[in-house]
Amino acid sequence: MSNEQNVIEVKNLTKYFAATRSLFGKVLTHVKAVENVSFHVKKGETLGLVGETGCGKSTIGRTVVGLYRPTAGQALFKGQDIHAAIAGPEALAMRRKIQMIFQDPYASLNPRMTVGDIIGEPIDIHQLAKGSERNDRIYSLLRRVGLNPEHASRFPHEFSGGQRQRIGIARSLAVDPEFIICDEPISALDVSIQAQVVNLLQELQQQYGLTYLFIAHDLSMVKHISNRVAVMYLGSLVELADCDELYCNPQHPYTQALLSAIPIPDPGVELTRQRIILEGDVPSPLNPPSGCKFRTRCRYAMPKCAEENPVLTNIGDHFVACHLVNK
Amino acid sequence: MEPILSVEDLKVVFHTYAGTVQAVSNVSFQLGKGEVLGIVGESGCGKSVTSSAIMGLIPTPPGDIPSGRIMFEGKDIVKMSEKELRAIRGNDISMIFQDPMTSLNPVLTVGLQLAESFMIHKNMAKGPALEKAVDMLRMVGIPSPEARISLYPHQMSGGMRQRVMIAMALACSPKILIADEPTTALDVTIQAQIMDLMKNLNKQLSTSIILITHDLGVVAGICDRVMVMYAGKAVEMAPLKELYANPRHPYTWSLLKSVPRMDQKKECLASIAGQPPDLLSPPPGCAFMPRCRFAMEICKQPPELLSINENHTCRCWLLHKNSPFTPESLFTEAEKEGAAI
Repeated sequence: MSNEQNVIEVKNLTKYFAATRSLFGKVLTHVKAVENVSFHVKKGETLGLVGETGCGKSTIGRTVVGLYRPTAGQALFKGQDIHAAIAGPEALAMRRKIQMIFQDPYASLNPRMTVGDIIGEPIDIHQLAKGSERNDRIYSLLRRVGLNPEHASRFPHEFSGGQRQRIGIARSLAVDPEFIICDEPISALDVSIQAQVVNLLQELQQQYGLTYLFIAHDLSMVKHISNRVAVMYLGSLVELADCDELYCNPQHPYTQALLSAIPIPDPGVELTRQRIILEGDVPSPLNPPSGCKFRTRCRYAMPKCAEENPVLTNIGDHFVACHLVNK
Repeated sequence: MEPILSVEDLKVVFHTYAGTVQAVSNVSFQLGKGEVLGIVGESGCGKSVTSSAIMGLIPTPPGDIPSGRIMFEGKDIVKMSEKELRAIRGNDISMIFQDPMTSLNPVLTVGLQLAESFMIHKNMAKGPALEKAVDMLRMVGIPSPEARISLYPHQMSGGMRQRVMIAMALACSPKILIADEPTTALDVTIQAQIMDLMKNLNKQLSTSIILITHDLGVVAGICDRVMVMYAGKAVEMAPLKELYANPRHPYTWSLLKSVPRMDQKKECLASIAGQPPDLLSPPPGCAFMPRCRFAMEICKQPPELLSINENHTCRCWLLHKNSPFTPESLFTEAEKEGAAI
């Protein structure tokens, strides 16, 4: 199902991490971070990826950008295998197309480099510009993300969280990427600053025709920025649909509970709302439940759910992995 | 409603090598019995410092409370000795901290940490105190509490640990519970569990709660009254519904406009340009002035806290009787213009 419009295609992606090893290095137990995940991202759209802590959403992002090698499955950029390309002579060309914005603006910038060098480094590595042309490029990037060219000679510690995140965005834009993975870019920022960064990301998307994979746990923000949204639970996709469809008509019991748990900043709505409160905690990914992973907290769980793993099925441009829906 | 706690003109400063940080200035509020008061603001606005002051937890030095009173049952907490404070902390006023990972003792079992409050404040022996600890864990909804009391904090999940924290805070049935960002470190489904639990406790035990958070959604679900803080000052205080329906301070208004709502579609989020001021040298006038789109010449002087009605106060020159504009008209106009705010 290779489609010209798909910038990214992820096919049956699986990523296990070694949890314990024997004396001789043989892996004894695995953390099953991501299991059998497939999705695609169309050109110019934003795909939101949501889920709770430890559900594997960041692992997907890091695997797609090439920071991790998948245990099984593949990730394609315009039909080309990303991990094969990165291992081969086309590594630079591939890395230039896919960039990433990280969650923590305090940890993702080198404290010993000036802002100019941070943004200039990818330009140097990819040999995109030299001398004064390089500096002009850095200045225009700084201006584009709402900072001043004078900021180029300063160090990261002189900036606030929101400004640092802007520096991170400028760095990712430095190589003219086509696809950017935003891994919780706003969760470390204050409310009034979050809106600034999200608005900037949306402007940049329109201006440069960027495609985003937007990873976050803040569902209201994901709804705001995304065209389509994928919901993950314990390493698997449970639901994927158009933004409005997912929020108005959630099919998977987990999505329903997740949506009902989000507080709405309006007392009138909030005080009369019926919540679905999930019992208990997310099971350990070291030893996930058999069959459907959500069954231990699901109020509709049936015997079948323990035996058979539900597959992601299309019910009219709306994909759900649940035995209740997939009759 | 008779106030159980009354904070009057509180000022907290920190003397650092870089200068004196005006963390909290001129904050006054009262907390009624059984009331849930929300304190909302961004990081560094002084909301946590206010709560630490109520608990008598401001480290001096570098901290200092040069003026103001915190009256609890006829006594001023600011002037209390450490011994008097110890009798109150965890007994009459207790606190839930933001990070359940770091606020529990990693080398003691949770049962022992819980039993400690009973042993100290109620003079119980260890055996009965541990039995009470089991009861407390059951009350906060931890399954098979008998087995859990012998666990160490690292053996529990974040939501569980936060429940243990709540159980500890409620151990001696305090009159006031201060919850400092109790759900910020937790996932939304766990957040819903914890907020549900706090709501029930407030109803059943009529404990007064001060909820400190930056999440306007969480506030909307539980609070009776809300105080909005900015740069160490209370800028607006109103009953919950009134604040959301009729915000009067431009900061409150922008804050409400800047969060996306799950049940609505917005083209563009209203963002507040710039960033909060440095409290080492706060602006002489209104601290929000540099970021305020409605700023006037007079805003270079500090605004007074003005009453809009009996329960609604706001610190903004727009509400002054000589102001040429009213916040209502400005907000409506700005909303009509829509686009980037």
